[in-house]
Formats: sequence, structure tokens, C-alpha cells
Amino acid sequence: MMEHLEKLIDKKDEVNAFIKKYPEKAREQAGKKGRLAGKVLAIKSCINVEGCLTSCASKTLDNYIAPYDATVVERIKKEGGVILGMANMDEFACGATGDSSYYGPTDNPAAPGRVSGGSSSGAAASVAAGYVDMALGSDTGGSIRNPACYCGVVGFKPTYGMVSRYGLCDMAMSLEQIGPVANSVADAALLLDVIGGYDPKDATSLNSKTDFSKSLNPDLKGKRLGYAKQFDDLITDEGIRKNIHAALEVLKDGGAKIVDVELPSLAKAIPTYYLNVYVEFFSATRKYDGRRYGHKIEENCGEEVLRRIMLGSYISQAEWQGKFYKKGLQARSLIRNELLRALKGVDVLVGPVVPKPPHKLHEKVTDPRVNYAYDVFTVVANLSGVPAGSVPSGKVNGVPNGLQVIGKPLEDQKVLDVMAGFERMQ
Amino acid sequence: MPDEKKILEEGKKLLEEFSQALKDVPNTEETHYVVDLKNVTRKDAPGKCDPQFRGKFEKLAPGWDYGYVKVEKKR
Repeated sequence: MMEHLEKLIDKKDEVNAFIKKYPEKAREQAGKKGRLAGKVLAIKSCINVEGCLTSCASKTLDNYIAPYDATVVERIKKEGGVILGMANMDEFACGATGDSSYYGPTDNPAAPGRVSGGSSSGAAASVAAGYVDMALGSDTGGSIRNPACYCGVVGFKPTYGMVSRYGLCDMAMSLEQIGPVANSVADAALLLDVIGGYDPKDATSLNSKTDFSKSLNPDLKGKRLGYAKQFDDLITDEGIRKNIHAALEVLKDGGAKIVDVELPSLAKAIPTYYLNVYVEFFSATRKYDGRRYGHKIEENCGEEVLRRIMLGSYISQAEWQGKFYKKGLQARSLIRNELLRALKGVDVLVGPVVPKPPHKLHEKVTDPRVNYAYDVFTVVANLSGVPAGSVPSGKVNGVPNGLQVIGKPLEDQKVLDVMAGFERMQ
Repeated sequence: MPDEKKILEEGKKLLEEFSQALKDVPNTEETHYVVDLKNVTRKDAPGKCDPQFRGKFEKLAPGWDYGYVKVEKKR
């Protein structure tokens, strides 16, 4: 273990995956027994790790040293996992590219010169670069699946309530889940086993069992996998479209049946998501007033964070509620009902993670619509609270791509099984 | 520093676009949470307390006086 850890400690962070590394703390944790014994992890910088800089990649919290462990961190430490450092991310998780971090963007280790995806940019990049064995990210609208896809690793967003959110500095409380990033589906399932399960400290926590890794079954024979034609309508890159259709053929070769399903309101997913997110994020950031810790957020944050705060404040005013937030909540019901209907006759849905390739590192994107567009296929799982994962599906013009697998609530096992089946066929 | 006025003006346009995109969504139930929120209670007994927590928290606060966080009254 020590030899493995020392090798990882010595690796130079060439892609800016970490905000801060803690080699001494890691050495102290090493050698303990448990299900994660021998595994070295990075933790997204919005998850409290005692004694570590939990900055949410913002100047607002650049002096915030977490005074306690999030429940997921407690569980990792208890099972012998070693935390090497705090991973880079989009500021307060407000992004899909990783380039809004106060500490600079994260380069993509699998496609140098491109953004790594986000918001869990450092989590995915640190795994892809071989700096750690696995990582924890959080996913509000695709923030685990998107960077996992672009970096060519596995990412999983559990059913809402499966994993405790205690100790997470969340971006939008009703949408965000902590989840694993790893090099294989088996490792992602193992980490989910450890971090999942009921936590009395979290009011949204479900009493669910988590023994996914032991039950992992990659057999695709007889599996009914739904594919919505609306996916094809909204993929904007021909290479990605071909890659996803090739993935469908692989699944068929494994014995699965592809079933046509409908998601008629998929094009409404982005406006629905952002009308919800603006309001929830505005609410979540009221605690960052600089009085008890950190600095006042409005005076220290970047443009996208400020946009979300200002628009959340604007639409929270009573006279606008019917037009924006209330409509967003109603549209959320519509999208959720359609997704659950599409899932009714199949085991899981399969489809794209992203509609387009990642843009170039340091490319100035001024129109928020360009970045929001990355989320079109991933936000539906968050709006509906269902499990979804990204598993590598090869490369498109030298950039990794991923297949998304979406399941019914609490059927995380089925999602992981299909991901493992596809992974085995690759 | 980001230009607040510009962000708000452009943001209002964005909100109008989003609102237009959802104009034909029927008046249906609203989804706030996908799971039932429970009241979280603990046993009526002293909980575990990290004796060092207060010290760690004190270090984080910009102002601390007589055992209380000291803050600006109002800006």
C-alpha cells in the first residue's frame, strides 16, 4: 500500500486536477483494513474533509478548512480508503466544463488541450490521469457523468437519497447526489457500496441496501434497453451520433434488445433544469455571507455563479413565481412522468451523455447557452431522481465519449449491470 | 469583477427564453423533491460531540469575542 501511495504522491499534477494535495494526511490514513484498503482517492472540493481546504473552487471559501467530515468521507476512512487530496471543480459546481474554477481549469488527460468536462473536473481527470484509483464527485445535472465521459472513465449518479448529502456544499439541494468516479464499473460499484445507505443526519436519505459490487452481473442477454429518437434529434455532433449507434450495436451483439421509446419533452429539459437550479442555488448561497467563515460570495465569485445568484433572486420575487419557478416545477413533473413512462417497458434507457465534444482549454465562452447545452441528456435523471451512469464508448476524433445508462428509481443495480455488460463487450 | 448590470439584463432575456420554451406545459402538480422529506430526530439524549470542533470553528470565523462569533451588524 505504502509503495502504491508514494508513487501517486510523487506524480506531478500536470492537468490541474487537484486544488490541494495532503500527502502527510494520506500517509497517516494508509494501511488500515476495510473494503477500500489499498485504494487512494480524490474528493471533489465541495465535500467536507476534516482539516482540508473545502473551497468549492471559489475565492469565497479559499480560507475554509473543513471542521468535520461529510458522512461519505467518514465511511471511506472507516473502510480503509486513503484521501490524497481535494479535486478541482467548476466554482460551486456551476458549470459543465471545469473551466470556471478560481484555481484554473483542468486539462483533459485523455484529450490534452480540451476541457475535462464538469463540474467534477478534477475527480474525473485525477482518475483518468492515474493520480488516484477512484474519486468522489457530485452530480446536479450531469456533473459526474459529463467529465467521466470526456475523460474516458466511469461515473455514476445514484438514485436521489441513496447516498447521504450531509457535509456536501450543494449547488441545488433537490437535484444533487454524491457519486463515484472510477476506472471500472466494478470499482464504481465498490465505492458506492461504501458511501451509500441510510444516514440519520440527512433528511433526504433513503433506507436502501448497498451491496452492488457483489451482485454485479454483466450479462446482457434478454435485457430490454430503451432508446429515444429524441436523443438523435438533439445530438449536434455527427461523430458522437455514430459512436452512440455503434454502442447500440455492441449491446445488441451482447444479447440485448433495443426498444424504441419516447421522451417528447426532452428539449424542455434545459429550461426546466435552470429555472429550478437558479432558485435553489440562490437559496443555498445565502449562508456564504462571510460572517462565520469564508468571504461574502457576491463580492468574490465568478460570472456564472453571480448569474445564478442574481437570476435566482430575481425569479424568487413573488410576482414572478408563476411565470418562472412554478412553471419550472410543473415542467419537472412533466419530464419526470415522461421518463418514468419510457422506463416502464424496459430494464433501462441507453443513450448519449453529451451532444457535442468538449471545447478547447482556455477558449472564451461568453454565451451561457453554449455551456448549458452540454447538459441536455443528463439533467433528466436529476430532475427525476433516478440513477444514471456513464461508461466509456470509445473515442470520437481523439476525444473519449461515453454511453449513458438510465434506470428506474432504486434500480441502481440494473444500471450498473448494463454498464458492466457494455464495458465487458468493449 | 463581473459586470452585474450586464449579467442581469442578459439574464432576464434568458429567463424569457426559458419561460417561452415552457409556455405550453400544462398546469399540473409541482415537483419540489422526488423523495419524501422526513423530520430528522435523534434520541432525547446527549449526542456525540467532537471536543475539538469548537476550536476548529473558532479558527474559521473572521471575528470571535467572548465565546460568540462577532459579525458586522449590517451593511
